[in-house]
Amino acid sequence: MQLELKVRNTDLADALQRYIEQRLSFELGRYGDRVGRIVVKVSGLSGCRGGTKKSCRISAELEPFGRVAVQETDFDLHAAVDRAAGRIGRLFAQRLERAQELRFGTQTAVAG
Amino acid sequence: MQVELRIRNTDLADVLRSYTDRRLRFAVSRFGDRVGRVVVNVSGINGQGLAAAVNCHIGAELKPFGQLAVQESDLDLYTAIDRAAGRLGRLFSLRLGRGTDDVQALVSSTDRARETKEEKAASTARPRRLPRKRMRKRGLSGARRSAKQQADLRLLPLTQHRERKENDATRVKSSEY
Repeated sequence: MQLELKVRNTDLADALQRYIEQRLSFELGRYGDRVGRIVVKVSGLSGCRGGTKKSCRISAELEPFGRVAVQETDFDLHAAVDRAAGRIGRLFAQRLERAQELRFGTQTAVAG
Repeated sequence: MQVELRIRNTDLADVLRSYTDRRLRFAVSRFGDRVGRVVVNVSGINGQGLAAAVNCHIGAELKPFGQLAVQESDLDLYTAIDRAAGRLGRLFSLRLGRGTDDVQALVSSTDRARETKEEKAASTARPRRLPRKRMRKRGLSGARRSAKQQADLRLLPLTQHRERKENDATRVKSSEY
């Protein structure tokens, strides 16, 4: 299959931003107001064999505990974004669970 | 949630091409060498007072039957591409007649039901009466025969009709005597 793509009158950065917002709202939407400002950095890593690798770094503010950040690289940018979004969702869950443990005593820690 | 996106050293057209290629492979790769050149046109539609929609037109070569094309519009670029690729896959399937086993089974069952109905109707239908002119020609004028008898007569050749008429006449004569 030979593919030819022609793009006209379309802002691809805007489309990518919508895609990333969709993925992040899927992963972080359940945390509501705990999620503050999110910065997503997408960059190409040249010098990789077999093509250019894409890096996706997501840094998000978890109120009131500070910032958390993850980074993923892949040859496919969308795969990198998906994996980074999934990781940051799990990281939020981990941090909030740890904060709850610290706040409401360490029953689980004592039992363990 | 506020998302800030920063892009560096990345060709987004290349990224979109790889995404489109993946979606198209997912949709039409099962047709193998039947798929020729595929041209994807992505363009923005500026509506008055509305959010800008994106139009995705995919033209593909189906060997050896010619060109096929689908078009989808959506506010989201990726949604438009996904829908257009899905439609193209279904169109390929339709044109090649693959994946229509269910449809064929449905059609054959419908045909079978219709045949059964026709057979039933034929078995219960009364034989057609001959027109009066043809009855006269075959020497049946004035004879008010039953439908079954008419059907029997209709099947006989003309010579046998005459013999039968003669037999009837002799029978009448013999009964007179």
